[in-house]
Amino acid sequence: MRTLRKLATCLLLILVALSGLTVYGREDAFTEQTFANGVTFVYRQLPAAKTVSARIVVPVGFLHEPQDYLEISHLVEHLVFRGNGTGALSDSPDLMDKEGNYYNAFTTLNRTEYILESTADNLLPAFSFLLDLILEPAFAPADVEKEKKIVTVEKALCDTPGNLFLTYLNHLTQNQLTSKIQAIDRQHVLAFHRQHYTVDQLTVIITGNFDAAEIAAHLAALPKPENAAAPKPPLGPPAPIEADLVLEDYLPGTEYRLLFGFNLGAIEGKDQAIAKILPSILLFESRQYDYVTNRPLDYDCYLFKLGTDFYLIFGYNDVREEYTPEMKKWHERNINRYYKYLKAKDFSKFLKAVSTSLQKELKLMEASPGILSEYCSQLRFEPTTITAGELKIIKALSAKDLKNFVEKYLEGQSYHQLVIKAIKREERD
Amino acid sequence: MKTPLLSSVRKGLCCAILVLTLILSCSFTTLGSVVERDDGLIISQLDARTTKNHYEYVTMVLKTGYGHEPQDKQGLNSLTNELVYLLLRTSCALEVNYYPFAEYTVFTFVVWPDDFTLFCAELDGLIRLDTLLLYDLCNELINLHLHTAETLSNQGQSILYELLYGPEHPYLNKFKPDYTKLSINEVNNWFRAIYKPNNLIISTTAKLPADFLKRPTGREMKQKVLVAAIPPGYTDGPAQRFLASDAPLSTVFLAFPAPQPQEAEFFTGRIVQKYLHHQLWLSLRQDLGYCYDLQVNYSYLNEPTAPTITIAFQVLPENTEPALDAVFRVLEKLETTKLTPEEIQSYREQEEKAQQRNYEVPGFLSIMDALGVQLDLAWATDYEQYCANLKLVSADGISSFAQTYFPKWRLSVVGPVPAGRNKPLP
Repeated sequence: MRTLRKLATCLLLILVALSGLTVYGREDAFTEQTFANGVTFVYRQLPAAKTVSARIVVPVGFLHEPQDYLEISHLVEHLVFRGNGTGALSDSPDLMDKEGNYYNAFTTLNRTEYILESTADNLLPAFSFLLDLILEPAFAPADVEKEKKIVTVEKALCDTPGNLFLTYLNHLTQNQLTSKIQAIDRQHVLAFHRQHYTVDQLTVIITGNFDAAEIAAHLAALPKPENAAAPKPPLGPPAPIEADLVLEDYLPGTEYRLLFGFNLGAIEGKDQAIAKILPSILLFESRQYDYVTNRPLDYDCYLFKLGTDFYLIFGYNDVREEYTPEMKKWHERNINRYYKYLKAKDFSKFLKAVSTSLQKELKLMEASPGILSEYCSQLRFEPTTITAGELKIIKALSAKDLKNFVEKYLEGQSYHQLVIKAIKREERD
Repeated sequence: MKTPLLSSVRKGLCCAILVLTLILSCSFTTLGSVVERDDGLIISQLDARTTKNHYEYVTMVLKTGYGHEPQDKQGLNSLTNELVYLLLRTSCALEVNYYPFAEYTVFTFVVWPDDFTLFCAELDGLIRLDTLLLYDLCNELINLHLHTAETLSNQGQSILYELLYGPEHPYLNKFKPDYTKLSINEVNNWFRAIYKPNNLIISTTAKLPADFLKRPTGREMKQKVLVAAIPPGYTDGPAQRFLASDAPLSTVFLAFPAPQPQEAEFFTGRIVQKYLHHQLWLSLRQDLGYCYDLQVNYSYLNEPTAPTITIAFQVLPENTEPALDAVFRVLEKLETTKLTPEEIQSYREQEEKAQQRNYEVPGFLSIMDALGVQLDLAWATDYEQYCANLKLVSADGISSFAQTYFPKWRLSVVGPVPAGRNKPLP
C-alpha cells in the first residue's frame, strides 16, 4: 500500500509539474503608475538581483489585424528589430548588443511584447534605445520585403503540419490566422504602426535591480499623442462548426490528430476558477493507458479565451492507428469517462499538490527578474492565468463544485470535433 | 545561502548597493574544493561568493550516459534515469532538471536553504534504494515512448550522426531505443549497477551531511562501476545524405568534427562557432530571408570525446540549394581568408559578454563545476581563465582550424532533394 500511495503522490506531482501552462500568484506585489501621456508603468524592484527584465507591451496582435493584411502585427514586430536606420538589432544572432543587453519579442493573439534583459547600469540607455526602435522604426522598403520572407518561414514552422490548436483558432476566428503577408507593403505597415504603436497604448513592465524613479521620469517625458487611441474593433462572433471538421495534412510519424473543443461561454467567479484548474486535473487523469485497446489516454488539455468566451480543448495524437468510426466512438467514450470521473472523485489531495507546486514556483520567481516580469505580463494580459483570489477559491473547492460544473458546462453539451488525417506518401504520388 | 553578508544586504538599500558594487567589481572566479571520499564519491563544494542569493544549487553527474548502454538495450540508461528524475521531482527541491548526455547523465537541483538537509536525505534515500519499485510508472514511460512520433529533426540528426560516426557508434544509441525490449526488471538491474558513490560527482553550494550515502543499504555499493570507453574516432568525410519528405520546410544539418574541450584548439573552435553563427545569420536570414532561426552548436559538453560543430536550419524546399551554396561560401571564405585582428576581437568580445552573463548564473556555475571535475576543465567555473584562453586565439589558428576541420563536413537534409547536390562527392 505504501508503494501505491507513493506512486499516486509521485504521479500527482509529476503531472502538476507537467501541466504548468498557467501561472499562479499575487498580483498586488507590483507597483503601477499611469502617466499623463497614457503610458502605464508596472514594476517590482528586486535589490538583490543582478539583472533587470523589461517588457514593453503593445496591445495589438493577430486578432486586431485588418482582414486584407493579416500577419501585419507580426511583420511589424520583426521590422522593429531591423532598426531605425542606425543599426539593426536582428543582425546579431543572439539579439545582443555590444553592452551585453539581450532583446527579444513575440506576437500573440492580443498583444506584441518586446523584451529587454539588462543590468542596473545598462538599463536606461538600453531601454531608451528599445523604446525608440518601437516608436520610430525606419521600415526600410528592402527590409519589409526581407522580413516578409522570414515571417513566411516562421509561420511555416508554427504551422507544423496538422497544428490542431491553430487550425481550430483559425476556424473560430473565421480565418483571422490565415496569413496575407504578400499583400502588405510599406504604406500598410506605416499606417498600422501609426494607429497602434502610440505612447498612450503602451504598458511597461520592469522587474529586478533598477532605479524606478529614473525610468518613471523617462516614461513621463514621452510626448502625449495628439489624438487618443481608437478603440480596437470587437471580435466577431466565433464561426460555428456544425459538424465534425475532417481535414487532411502531411503528418510525419502520426496517423491523425484530433481535437475536442468546448465553448464554456463567458464564465465568471467560481466557475471561471474551476475552468482554469480543469486542464491540470484532466492532464492528471489523462496520463493513463487503455490496456484493452492498447492505446494511451494522453490527451493534452488547454483553456483559452477568445472574445468573451472561454474554450476548453482536448488534443490527441495517434502514431499507430488510423482514424475510423470506431476510433471516433472510443474518443467520445473517453470524454464521457472524464465527466463521470470529475463528478465522482475527491480532488483534495490533488489541490494540495497544486498549492505545493505554486509555493515552489513563487519561491523561484523571486530570484529571477525575467520569470517575474513574464508572470506579471501574464497576470495582466492572459485571461486564463490563475490569480491569487482564484487560487483561494480552488483550494476550497469541493467535490460538489466540480460535479455542478460538469453538469452545467460539459455533460450533454455539444462540442466541436476537429480531425486532421495523415496524407500518405503513396496517396500523394 | 544565509551568510552574514547577505543578511546585511537585506537591511537596507544603501547596504545593498554597496555590497552589489563590491560583488560586481570583484573577480567572478569561483573557488571550489574538490574531495574524493574513500567510497569514490567526488564532492565539489562551490565557493559561496558567486551564489549570493536565497538558494542552494546542487548538480549530480552520473558518470554513465546513453553511450554506455549495452548493445540491444538501447534506451535503458535513459529510461532508468527518466524514472529517477520523476521520483526526484517529488523531493523538496524547488527545481529539478535532467540532461541525458552520451557520456554521462546530469541532474540539477535548486533547493531552499532551510530544506537542504531534508533534500540531501531524500537524494540519499533514493540513490540507496535496492530497486525502483514503480512498475506502473515504468510501464507508463515505456508506453509513452512507444506512442511518441519520431520527428523529422530527429530523423535528420540520426542520419547526420551515422555519417559522422558510423552506424554502430554509441552516440547513435539515442536514435535507436527499442522500448519493447525494456522492462522494470532491466531498469532495476541497471539502476543497481550504476547508482553507486564511485560513479557520482556532486557539486554543491552547501556542505553535504557527513553520512551522505554512507548508511547501510540493501545492495552492493562499493564495487567500481566500469563504463565502456567511447570510441573517439569519426568516419571519413565529406559525406551527404538526403531523406525525401513532403514537409513544408526542409531541415538541414551540416556538421564537422571539432576539438575536445580539454584541447588548446577548443577556444579557437568557440570563436569559429561564433563567427559562423554570425556570418550565416547575416547571409541566410538577414540578407536572403531564407531562415527564421539558424543555430550553430558545439557539442563539447554533450559529446566531449568526439564533439562536432553543427549548423542547423530550416528553409522552404525551393531555397535549400541556394541556402547550402551560401553556407559553403561562408565556410570557404574562412578557409581561404584570414580574419583581421579587429574581427577576432569583435567575436571575442561578443563571446566574453555572453559568457559573463552565464558565469553570473549560479545554476550554470553549478553544472560547469560538476562537469569541470568530470572533464578536468580548469576554466569550467573560472571566467577569467576562460577569457584568457580566448585571448590566445589567432588568425592563423582560425585558418588552420578551418582548413583542418571544414573539409570533413557531413550534410543531412530532410526534404526534397536539391537537384544540384544530388551527385557523388569527390
